Amino acid sequence: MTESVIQLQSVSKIFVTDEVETHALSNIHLDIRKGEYVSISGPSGCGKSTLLAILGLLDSPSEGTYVLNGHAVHGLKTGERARIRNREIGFIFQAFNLIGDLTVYENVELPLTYRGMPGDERKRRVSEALERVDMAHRIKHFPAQLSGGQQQRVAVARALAGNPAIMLADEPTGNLDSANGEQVMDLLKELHKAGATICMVTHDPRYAGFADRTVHLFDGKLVPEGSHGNAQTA
Amino acid sequence: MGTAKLTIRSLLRAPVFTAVVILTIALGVGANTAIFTVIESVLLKPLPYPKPEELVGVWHTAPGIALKDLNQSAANHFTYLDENRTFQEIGVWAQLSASVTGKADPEQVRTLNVSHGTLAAIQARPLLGRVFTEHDDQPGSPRTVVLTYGYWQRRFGGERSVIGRRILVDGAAREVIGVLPEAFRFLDSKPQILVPFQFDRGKVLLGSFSQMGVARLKPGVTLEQANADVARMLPMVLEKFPAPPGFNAKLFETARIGPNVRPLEKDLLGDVGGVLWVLMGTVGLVLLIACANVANLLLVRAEARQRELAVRAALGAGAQRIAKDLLTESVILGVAGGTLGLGLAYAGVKALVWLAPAGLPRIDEISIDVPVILFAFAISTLCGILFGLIPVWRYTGRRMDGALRLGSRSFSQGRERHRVQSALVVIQVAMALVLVVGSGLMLRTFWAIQQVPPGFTQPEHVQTLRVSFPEAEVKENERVTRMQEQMLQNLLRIPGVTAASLSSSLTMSGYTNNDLVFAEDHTYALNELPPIRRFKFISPGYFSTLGRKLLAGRDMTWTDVYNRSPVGLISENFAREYWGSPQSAIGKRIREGPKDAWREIIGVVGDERDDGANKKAPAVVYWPLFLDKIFGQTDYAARGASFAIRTDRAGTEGLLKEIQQAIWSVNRNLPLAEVSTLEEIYDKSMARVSFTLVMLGIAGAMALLLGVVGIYGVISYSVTQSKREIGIRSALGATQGQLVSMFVRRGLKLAAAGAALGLVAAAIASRFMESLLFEVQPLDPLTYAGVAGIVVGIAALASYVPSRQVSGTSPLEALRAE
Repeated sequence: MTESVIQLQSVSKIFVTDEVETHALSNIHLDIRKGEYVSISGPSGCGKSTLLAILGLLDSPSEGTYVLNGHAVHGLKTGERARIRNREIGFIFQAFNLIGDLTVYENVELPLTYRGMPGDERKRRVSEALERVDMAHRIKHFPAQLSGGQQQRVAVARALAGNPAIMLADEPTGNLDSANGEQVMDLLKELHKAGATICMVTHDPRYAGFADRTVHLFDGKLVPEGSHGNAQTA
Repeated sequence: MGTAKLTIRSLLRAPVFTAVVILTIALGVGANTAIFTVIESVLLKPLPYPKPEELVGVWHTAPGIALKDLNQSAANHFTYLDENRTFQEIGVWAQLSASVTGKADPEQVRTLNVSHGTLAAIQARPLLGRVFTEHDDQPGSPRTVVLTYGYWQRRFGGERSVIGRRILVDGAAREVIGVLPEAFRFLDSKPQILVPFQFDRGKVLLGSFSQMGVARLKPGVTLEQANADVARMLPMVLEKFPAPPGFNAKLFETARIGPNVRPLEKDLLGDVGGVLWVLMGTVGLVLLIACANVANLLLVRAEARQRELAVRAALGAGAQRIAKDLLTESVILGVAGGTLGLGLAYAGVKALVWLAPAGLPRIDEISIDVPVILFAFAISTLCGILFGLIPVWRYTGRRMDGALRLGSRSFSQGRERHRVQSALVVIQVAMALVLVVGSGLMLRTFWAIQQVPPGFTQPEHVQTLRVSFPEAEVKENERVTRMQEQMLQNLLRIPGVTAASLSSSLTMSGYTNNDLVFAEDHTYALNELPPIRRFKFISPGYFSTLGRKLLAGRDMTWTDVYNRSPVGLISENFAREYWGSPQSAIGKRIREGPKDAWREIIGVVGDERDDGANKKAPAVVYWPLFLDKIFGQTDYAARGASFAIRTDRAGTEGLLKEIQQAIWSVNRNLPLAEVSTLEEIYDKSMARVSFTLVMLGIAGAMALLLGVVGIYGVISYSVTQSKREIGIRSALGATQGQLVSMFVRRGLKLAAAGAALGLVAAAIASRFMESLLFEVQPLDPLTYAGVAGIVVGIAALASYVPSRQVSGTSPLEALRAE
């Protein structure tokens, strides 16, 4: 049996504003195994992004435990969380989130510099990642000089370069037209075939179908598989 | 609704922004207006006389004896009076002092001694009575005196019946013939009474250039013509008047005396213009830094208003209209800041006058007037336009559709956005560095001056005062000296007094007496004149009272004084110049004139910085208080005596009463004048350096503060605007330390660029300060390195604080930021 990359046990997230408690996530149990391609879907406001933020260590659960790649990470301090984000997680954002001041090459290299990786090794990894997303010919370009689809491919390369335990994609096609959206989804599928573990948030059923397994969220709770009308597996 | 009204309403809605901008401008405009007020009053205003452009100072040059400025002698004056073709009026004058007795306590007053042509040249009119005529100048004419308004009010309660009354001046009765109006000014002298010179033409000899010359040019005469006229008359002086005994006229030819007629205002202003223009340049830079800060704030505001501007453009506002709106805002801010600045300048001028160095001319004329107000509003408006143009250039005429679609960005802010702000910060840091280097150089100058042994020790424990012994009061020279010794004996009996002595001139007191000194073992070519040395007449114990070391030989004694022994002491620099060492000078003989007696050098003492701690120490000869065969006289006594009394009680009221008693117990009619500690005399001589230091220090601190605020603002703004980038980097694993160091590096890059630019600019600008420096090179590496280090260090801190605050926010929150 393949090992778990992500294990969430009884995870809840409660936001408190002006003495009003909002239960964004309630009692979530989730297990994602190595090499798996999981999509999380659900209507707007159901807690998809909150769940992804917790998985990406950008936020912490109010309750429950989170084990990432065999290590409990729910109670870590800020600095340690940053270190694990850098080494274990690759992010792909809806808005690409490239840094405008940096070239394509520098954007992809950025997480590796935070890791203190030697220059030669960084160069090799960046080149490989850009070749995999077919953007090696644009290394000196700035984000503003690229199309949306190209920017997202660079963002994918950035997520790949660090060889993370899991890639977290938050509506990766949300800012793209359908042709570019398809290309990005094909790219993720290729990466998955090559062994990458991917967890993707999407509200688009067409793209959810690219995953091995779809997890549905509704009002902050996981909906048991089979109780949902839509296709849950690819 | 008018543009101005709308703009004011909009500014009132952003009170913090508006207040910060107005205050920043007010500081810059206020500092500039304050310094301009001084410059306008001191340098730019014409002299307060009719047709001031016709007034000249009559000076000479004497390259043969290395004198650039040789003043006026009675022989030259009479020759010019008789023979000139270019002057309407010509006169001589000197600032002296005299004792006035016979009414209450004796009083030492400042006098302006003049020939009648002096008051005629400046066209002085009396308030009461008359001013001097040619008749008053004649020897044998009744002795007269003219009172200044202040003295008339103080001593005579403004009584109009004062005309015709007699007062005792230096023991001689003089008739009051006139009172001058309150507005009377004569250059920067502040006399209490005016007395006429009464030169006896028959007894006038060549030389003795101890008066100042003033003249009014005939209409249409140029300075060149006046100088040519004086050059024509100079040979006549040698023909008309005899040389003093032992000299011949040929000796005066070797001095190669030439004409040096120049605008009278130069006599008034001296070199004070150098300091004031350096200060004006300094505060000008402060204003530019303030403008850069305000421009940065306006850029931020314009950026925040980009959507609004885009909507206006979409609704049909042209580039000109938008530019007008932006400029209206900046000009309103400029004028508001200028108005507040004018108020600050008013307070600043008061502080400046209080801080101003002794000898800053026309200080009582310094006031804010119409030209100053116009200046303040002109620079405020100009600044408003200047800092308003940057956002205008940046935000008008650009495509506005992008601004309307903000919020759909898929990458963080690019470098383009901060380029202008960064450039402004680089310029600010550069300008601040120039000013701080200026302050640093002055600080080093101040320190260097303080390391110079001035010729005395512990000046705070030396009480000084001056007593004059007029002939009318004490006729015989020897009697003067005996009274002086008696006074010293009385002073030594005062509890706590450890030493007491006197000199014709204390160090740095401004009383100078210079003359030729011949050395017996030096040969002089035919008609060669030896260099001029400073003369001082001292009592025994003078050097030990001041704490100055005797380097060789011995001090003089009262026996030397009363025996009129032909002895003297000299300063170390004189000894080294002529004989190589203090010891070698002992036993050598010197004299003042070719016919005078040779006098033996019995001692050599350390140098004294008589012209100020930052000026070269003059070579000094110290003669006994009482001696014979000098200055062509049978005997001579120092009738003007400055007492030095060493005691821990210096400066206390109790001591002064006891000193007064000690002196008046010898002669009740001798007034005590110029009562101060030696430390006060020293501080006064340092006043200009201290003033420049304080002013440059304030300007440097203001510049640094504004520069730091600029860096803080840009980094803070940059961090805030980069919140999303912070989120991205944080999501990718950047630690808080890595994020902080990224922004600090950004700040340091700006500071380093500014510092590099500033160092080059400072190297150029410091040349203008060269005359203000002392034993510090304008390119002093220590100052430059230290200041650059301080500026970069402060910049790092100014970058660290905002970086630390913002980079600590949650990455999720940062990612959501727009």
